[in-house]
This record gives sequence, structure tokens and C-alpha cells, in this order.
Amino acid sequence: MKKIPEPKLKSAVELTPAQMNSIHFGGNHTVLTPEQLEGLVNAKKQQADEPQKPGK
Amino acid sequence: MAARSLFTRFLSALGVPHTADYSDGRFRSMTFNSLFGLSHLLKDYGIPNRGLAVSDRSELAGIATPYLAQASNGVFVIVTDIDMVKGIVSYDSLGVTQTMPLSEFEQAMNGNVLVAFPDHDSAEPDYRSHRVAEVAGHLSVYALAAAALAVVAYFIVTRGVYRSWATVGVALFDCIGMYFSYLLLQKSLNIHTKAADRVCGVLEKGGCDSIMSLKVSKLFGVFSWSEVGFGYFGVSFATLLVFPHLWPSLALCNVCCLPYTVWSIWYQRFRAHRWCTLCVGVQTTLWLLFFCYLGGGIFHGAFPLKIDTFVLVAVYVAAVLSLNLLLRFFRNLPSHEENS
Repeated sequence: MKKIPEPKLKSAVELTPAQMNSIHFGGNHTVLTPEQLEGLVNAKKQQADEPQKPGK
Repeated sequence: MAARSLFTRFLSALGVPHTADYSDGRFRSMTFNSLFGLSHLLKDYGIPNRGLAVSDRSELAGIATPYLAQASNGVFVIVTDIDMVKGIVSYDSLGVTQTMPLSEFEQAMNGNVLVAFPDHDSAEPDYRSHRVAEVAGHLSVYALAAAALAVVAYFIVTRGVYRSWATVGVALFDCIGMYFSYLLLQKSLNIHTKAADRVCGVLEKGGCDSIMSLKVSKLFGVFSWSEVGFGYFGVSFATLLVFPHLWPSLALCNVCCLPYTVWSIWYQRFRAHRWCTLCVGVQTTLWLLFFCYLGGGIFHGAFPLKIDTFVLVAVYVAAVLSLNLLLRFFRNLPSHEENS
């Protein structure tokens, strides 16, 4: 059995039961590959850049 | 084998004693299909745990593995290893271990994590009795396989299937065809297995999933070609073993399937522009069967058509319809599962 020590995190906030209950499972039928995760990151970056572009 | 649930794989990663079927069942039947429900389930297993929102993603590397982390698209993965020296993280998604650079992984996560703290008391409730039942279940599968092999061997010997290279070839290719169709059936039920993914990756990665998502993957929009294939190869194999006088009829039915192979290859090449390895495998098997029938002179006696041939066709149809009804029943069963 793995021994997991309590994490010492400065930026972590414990989720309340209500918050945890709002985080649902579901919808994933395919393996989440590194390429797909990179795609998510790129999509986030594009969204973050868009408001800064003039004329939009 | 289909991937186990997120919960079961997490228990395996933690090293907590459990039985896969029971754990999968508990996960599927959680009252709250949420992180809260999972947390409660872990507590039932005597595993204290905490859900955290980590705003500074670089701190994710400081959490001891294994733990659950949520990607920004909402999907949970099991973080299994972090190599700080190489800057690589390993994670489990649907039972498949992936690796990627730690910095990119941190950016792809939304910061929600679940950390579990098993101790020497942590274990599945009633683990001992479940384990006994699990072992008994496995033994019964082996016993069934042994009995089936004995029956098949009996028929191969008594019906003279072994006497000709052609009939041995037909038996072999029927089994191969059944296997390919079985893998396709699993995919149609969204059951992901390493075996199917490995075979599917031979011609084109993801090709099987692409082809199977098309409307043409179903006959009349109702019967998937994988059901038709499994029914065809299954009935052919059984008929080959039990009714030697129907071998010419089997050969005739095989010829009727050949135009489908031409259409399938044409569609994949010129319409879909994707290759489904399993589908190509089935087409190849049908042609290899044809050459066995032809080379073994098994077409001799096929004409004039007898009533037996029509009964055989009726059996094919009945098998495919029964399989379709059975699978519709399984598809309609409720499933919490998939964040796994």
C-alpha cells in the first residue's frame, strides 16, 4: 500500500462538499492523450489572446 | 479486456486491497456521480481523502502520487509518477499510461485534485468473501474455455474437419474473423481495450473509431456490420464443425459476402479516406475463406440449391438479429462510468 504524505501546498484551498458535488464525471470515452492536452492548452492561450487583438 | 473504472484503477495505484468487479459496481452505482460521491466511496473503503483546488499549477508536482487530477476539459486522470529530474509526468487515462512534459501537463490541468491517504486498515468492505467469489469466477471461465475446447476438438475429429487443409483453414479463418468482429463489437459498445487499439493502430491510428462513427457502419441504420460479421463467422464455424453436409452451402454463402468486401474497401479508400484495420482484417479473412473453399473443392455439390442452404441463411439472419437485440439490451443499461 502506498504511503501518501499530506501535501504542503501554499495555493491550495480545500473543496467543500458542495463544490466537490458540482464536479461531475462523465463523457470521456477515449484515452486523453498528451496531444489532446496540448490542444487544450493551445485553445486556452488563443482564447486569452483574442480580446487583445484590435478590431475584434 | 475493457478498462476498469477510474475508482478501481485508483485503488490499484494506491495498493488498496480490492476486487475489480465489486469496485466497478460501487463506482457505477454511486448516489452522487461526482467528486463528492467518489470521496464518500473512498471513505467507505477506509481511505481518508481530500479534494483541493490548487491555483498555482506548479505546485501539482509537489503532491505525492498517485492522485486524481482534473484536466481543463473536465476529464479526470490518475497522476501516477512525476520525474522531477527529467521533468516528465506519467498519468493513467482509461487504463493507458501516458507521459508528457510536466510544464505542459500543469498548464492543461484546472487545479482540481483529489488526494487519498490509505493506511493499513484501508480495504474493500468484505474483501475476503469478494476475493473468493472472484477466484471462483475466474476458475469457472477457465473451466468453460476448457469444456468448449473439448467440444470443438470432438467435432473436429469426428466430423473429419482435420482431414483437409481447406477445412482446417476455414475453421482457423472463421475464428480469426470472429475475433476481429468481437473487437469491433467492443468498440461499438464503447468498450476500450488495449488489444483493439493495438490492432487498429496498424493501418491508421484512430481509423477504426472514425469509420465506426459513420452512418454506413450500420446496415439499414440498425445492424452494425460488426454484429453481422460476428454472427456470420460464429454460425459458419459452428456449422463447419457440426454439419459436414452443409460445407458447400457455407462456401456459397461466403461468395455472397465478397461484393461487400469490395464496397467496404472502396468506401474506406475513396469516401471516408480513413482505414479501419479491423474492417480490412474482416475483408481479408472473407477472401482467405473463399480461397480455402475454392482450393479445397468445397463448392462441389453446392448446386442444385437444397432447402438446407436456405435454412442456413435463416440461421445466419436469426443469429444477427438475436445479437442485435442482446446488444441493444446492454447498450440501454444505465452507466455512470465514463470519466475513466
